[in-house]
Amino acid sequence: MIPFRVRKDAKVWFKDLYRDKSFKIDFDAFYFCFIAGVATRRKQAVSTDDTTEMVAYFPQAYSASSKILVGLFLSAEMEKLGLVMTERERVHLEIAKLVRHDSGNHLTAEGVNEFSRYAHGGYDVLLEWFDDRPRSLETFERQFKRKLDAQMSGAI
Amino acid sequence: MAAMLQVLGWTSQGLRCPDHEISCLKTSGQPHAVTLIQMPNGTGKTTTLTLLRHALSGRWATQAPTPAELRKLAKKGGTSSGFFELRLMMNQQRVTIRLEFDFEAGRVRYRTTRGSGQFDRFDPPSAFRRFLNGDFVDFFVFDGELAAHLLDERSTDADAVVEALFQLSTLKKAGEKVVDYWERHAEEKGDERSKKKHETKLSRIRVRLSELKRERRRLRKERDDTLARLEAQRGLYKEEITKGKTSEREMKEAQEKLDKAQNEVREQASSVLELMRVPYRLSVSFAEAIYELKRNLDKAKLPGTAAREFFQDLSTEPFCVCGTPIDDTLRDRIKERAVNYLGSDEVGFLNAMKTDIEEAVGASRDTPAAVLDGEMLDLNAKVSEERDANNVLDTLQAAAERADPRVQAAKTEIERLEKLSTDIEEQLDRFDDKDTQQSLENTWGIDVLEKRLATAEDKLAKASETLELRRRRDVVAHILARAHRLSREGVMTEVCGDANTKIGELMPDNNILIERIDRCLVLEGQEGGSVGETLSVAYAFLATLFDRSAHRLPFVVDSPAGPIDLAVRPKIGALVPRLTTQFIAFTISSERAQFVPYLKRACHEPIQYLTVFRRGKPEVERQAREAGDVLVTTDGLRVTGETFFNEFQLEEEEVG
Repeated sequence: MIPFRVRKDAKVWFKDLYRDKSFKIDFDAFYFCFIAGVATRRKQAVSTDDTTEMVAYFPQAYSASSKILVGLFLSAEMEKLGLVMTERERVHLEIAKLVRHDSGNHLTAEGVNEFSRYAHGGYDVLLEWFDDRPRSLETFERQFKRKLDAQMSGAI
Repeated sequence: MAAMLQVLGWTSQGLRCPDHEISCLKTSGQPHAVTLIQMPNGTGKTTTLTLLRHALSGRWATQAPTPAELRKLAKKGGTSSGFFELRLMMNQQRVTIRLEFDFEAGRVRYRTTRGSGQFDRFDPPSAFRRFLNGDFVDFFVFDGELAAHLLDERSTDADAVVEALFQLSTLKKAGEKVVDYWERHAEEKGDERSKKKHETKLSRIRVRLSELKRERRRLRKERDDTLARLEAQRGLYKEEITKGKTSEREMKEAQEKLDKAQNEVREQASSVLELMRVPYRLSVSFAEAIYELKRNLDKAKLPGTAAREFFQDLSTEPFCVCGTPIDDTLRDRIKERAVNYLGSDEVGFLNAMKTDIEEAVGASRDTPAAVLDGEMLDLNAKVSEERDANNVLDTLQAAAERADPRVQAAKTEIERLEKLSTDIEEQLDRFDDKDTQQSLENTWGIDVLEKRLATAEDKLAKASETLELRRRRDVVAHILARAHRLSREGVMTEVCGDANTKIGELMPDNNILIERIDRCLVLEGQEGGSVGETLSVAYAFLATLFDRSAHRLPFVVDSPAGPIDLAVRPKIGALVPRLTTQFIAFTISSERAQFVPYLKRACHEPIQYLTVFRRGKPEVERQAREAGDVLVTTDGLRVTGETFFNEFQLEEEEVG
């Protein structure tokens, strides 16, 4: 099983939320980076040295949405590849590259890497969305939601 | 090697406590398992505990006491000198540590006697040094405050104690030895000029990295100290402000309103976080995207009903399902194309994913996001209420500051400390810098320097043809680091589990458990309990810790049962003899109830009972003399015996 990887600088950026125990696991930082990345379709390759290994599964707080998260990821990938569903064989092939039922995170090694790349790119997006690193959970949530809504409505 | 430390006794003369001598030895020459020393408040329990701590830790050898600290130790009425002599047994070797006080010169000096040698310094045997330092000694010579400290990461380093007790640092040291070996080997090989160049570079990076790490440690400590001072100053500010002209009730109400508003914001933010962890609640667009994916998969009949295994099986058959003979060409083609189909398990996963999507957003794409939007509105309103509450309190505080210079001074100090704390945080941020383009002197990122160090080591290894050895070094170092991490996690998990079992036995009705050890003890789902509860948690933790380690250290405790409920005392009393092989406790008369009888019952040998008090109470002194075994000094009496101990009723000395 291949673990997800989170950017080290992203963890540092979220340090105040970890310090006041709003965020408790590395996956929290990773998740919001992923969402920002997938919303903007921004992917970024980051070297192993600049990332930290996390768990190879969706932690408890995210396990109920694990298949939804994979669905969101597949949807973004299909769109990025310009795939239409009528190309059944290609769709099968691409999904087979990314999905694996017996891994803790439902993803192949390539799937995990691509998933993590959205999170790596998403961190760059967060830096654009925020003037400074978040100091409290409520500040982060409100700004994140505002920026995400603006992104989705095409205002940014 | 396992360490065994025993306290044989001590002598105190010319200091704040009455001159006294305590022997913890039985007639056989072995220490009593339990020695109870009853001293009324005001007799100098705290002084004696301080002296024991400093004699054992050598703290004053590296950090001289302040004049105020020294004044607190001098006998009232004044003596120019005094001493405290602690007699110990360390693995069969007698060691005496003597603190000599010169109050006129404002100085304290250590003397250590061990074997036939006498040293004018704090110099315990090397095997005991890792236990005889300030951080560690506080874990076996402690008072009721330890319980609170154990739950405060700024006050304790439980990690460090676990590391020392279970010798986990040996793995770290082994890693350092491996690095040293490689370096020595590299020095002996390769082209001298090229090697010298790489060595110089490596050495410069190492020095820089070490300086930065030291500076980071210093700043972290300074930050923690500043935050502690800030917290204390905020307490002082509140005290001053309630003394002022502004209505105390008004101020209290405003503060309570702000606290309530802050709690509500925090709770609401936590609820919002829960919702935000579900992507289709974050945005209708996400709900639409996954629903679209599901619909398209359905439309295209994906995943198909035929799985990869069907075609793989078919390729082994002589005929196709339609009856067409399958020759080798066709067989290869079927095999080749079978990989384009998903396996039955993957098909199962995709179907499960589609079901989840249908259940989540099938009925409506908008509703889940509307739930989060509603909660966000609520959060905005609560943040706004918090801001209003803050403004009200600010206004009242500003008025109080204008009216009273002491409040103003406290406020100014708070602002200074807040600024200092922010400045330190900013300085600490530099160590996380990722800029790789700067010169060595201008590089602050510790990660960046560690990478540079690895590259420089690599180059030196190439230059000295020890690359293979370096790779091996890295493998061994990696294994040792992993072994250290796993051992630490294993030990911590087991210590937590066992401590929780003990806590359950001690307090079956209190739902308190240790969640993890992260510098301090982190309790499950709460910040802390009552003093009694946390002291019980501390006992359970320490009992587990010292029970599982091979080392035997004494426990010296001030008020072992003081803050604990009468109902819990019997259990603590029964637990104490299992804590360690030697237990020395300072008590007052009100602590005996529900504690001493249970301690006595659980102890496998007779307890030594001592009572120490100041001279000047003729009736009590007469009773003491009648009791028999009395040692009289210039200003104190020490009485040995259970009967006198149990009948002694003096709770507090008159403070003269």
